[in-house]
Amino acid sequence: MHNEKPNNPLAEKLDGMNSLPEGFGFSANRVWDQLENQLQYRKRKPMLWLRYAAAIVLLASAATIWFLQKETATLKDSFTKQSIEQAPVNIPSPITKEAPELMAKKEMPLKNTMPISTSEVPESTALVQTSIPIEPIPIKDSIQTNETIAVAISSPVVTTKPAIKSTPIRKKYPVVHLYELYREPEPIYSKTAPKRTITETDESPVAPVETNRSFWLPKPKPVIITTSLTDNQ
Amino acid sequence: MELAKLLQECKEERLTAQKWLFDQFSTSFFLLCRRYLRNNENAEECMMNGFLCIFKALPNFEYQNDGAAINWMKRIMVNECLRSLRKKEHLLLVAEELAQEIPVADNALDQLAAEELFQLITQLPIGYRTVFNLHVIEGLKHGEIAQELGITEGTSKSQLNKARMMLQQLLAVKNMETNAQRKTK
Repeated sequence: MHNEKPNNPLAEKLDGMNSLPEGFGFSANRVWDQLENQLQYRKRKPMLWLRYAAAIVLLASAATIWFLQKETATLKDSFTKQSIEQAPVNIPSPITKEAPELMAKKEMPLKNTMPISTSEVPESTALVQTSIPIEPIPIKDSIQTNETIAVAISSPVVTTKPAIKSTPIRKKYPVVHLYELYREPEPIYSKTAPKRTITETDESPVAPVETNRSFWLPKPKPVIITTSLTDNQ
Repeated sequence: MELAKLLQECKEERLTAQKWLFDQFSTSFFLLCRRYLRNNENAEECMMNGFLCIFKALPNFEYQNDGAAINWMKRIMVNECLRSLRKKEHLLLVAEELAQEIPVADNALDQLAAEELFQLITQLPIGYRTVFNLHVIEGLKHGEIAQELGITEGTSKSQLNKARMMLQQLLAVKNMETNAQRKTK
């Protein structure tokens, strides 16, 4: 179309119409109101667009975060379940301890003792058979590398002497009769008491008093008596 | 207010200037739209959309003179009408063989008053009046009309001939009616 039209009497005539013919009318105010709304909406449009975009971005990010969290949670659950199901754990049968049997000694009946009935035993002291499950020992992770690692290994010690087994030395205790340990006390200052002479055959293990005394008493200081030889003696 | 100043203020998106422009051109643009479209409602809607397009395209418009500015606004309105015709009226012009151009004297139309001419044009079918408006009133060539409407040049010419023939018939009927009215008086 051309901006500048050639002279056209019909067009000029129609363009010169300033009034509406009969049967052709429109409400200018109504059309303007609609147009005004459209114009104002167009002005607000960029802001609305920005808000919508921001809202969409926020929703999308929230949705992705939620989805990722959900996915990781399901992965963790499945991993743990699989590991639990697939891990060959050999749980040993629970160790059962046999309750000790109370055996009454018929051959040796207890005398002067109160008869104890089993009903009188308090519950706290009752024997309880328990089974302790043994947990599987976790296998430590091992690092697998293709690199060669220098490891220092101590060379075996070459000894000329053969290893001697050291046997524990057992102490030998002398067998002593009970009556030998107890002896009637002897009167120290009795005149009637026979003098005891130590013979060579006397093998009594009782140590002399002197030795016993030295265990818990301070050692007596030796008394040195000095005598001087004078003319009076 | 001068049109240049008015358009400048409209570029700055001042609502008062836009209202001034609307009040100044709404009637002529409504009549323009009504020449193309079937009813007043469609013409109103088309005019409103045309004004929106004008306000939107104003920042890119360079004012030269009043005539060019008015023609620019009219062109936008016509394009809006054609868009509406394509969308709502399903403008379908049957391709016809090139009919011999009927020499019709436009003098008969020139003698008509503007209102009478307007009413005669609105009585034409959509296809006829579209081509007539574009060729006779807007001054487009058949090639341009064919490109605009998606038809051949022959179709455009035949449609124009038929429109002219129909206008002559309508004009004859109108003359007969007026003569009859005069006789009764």
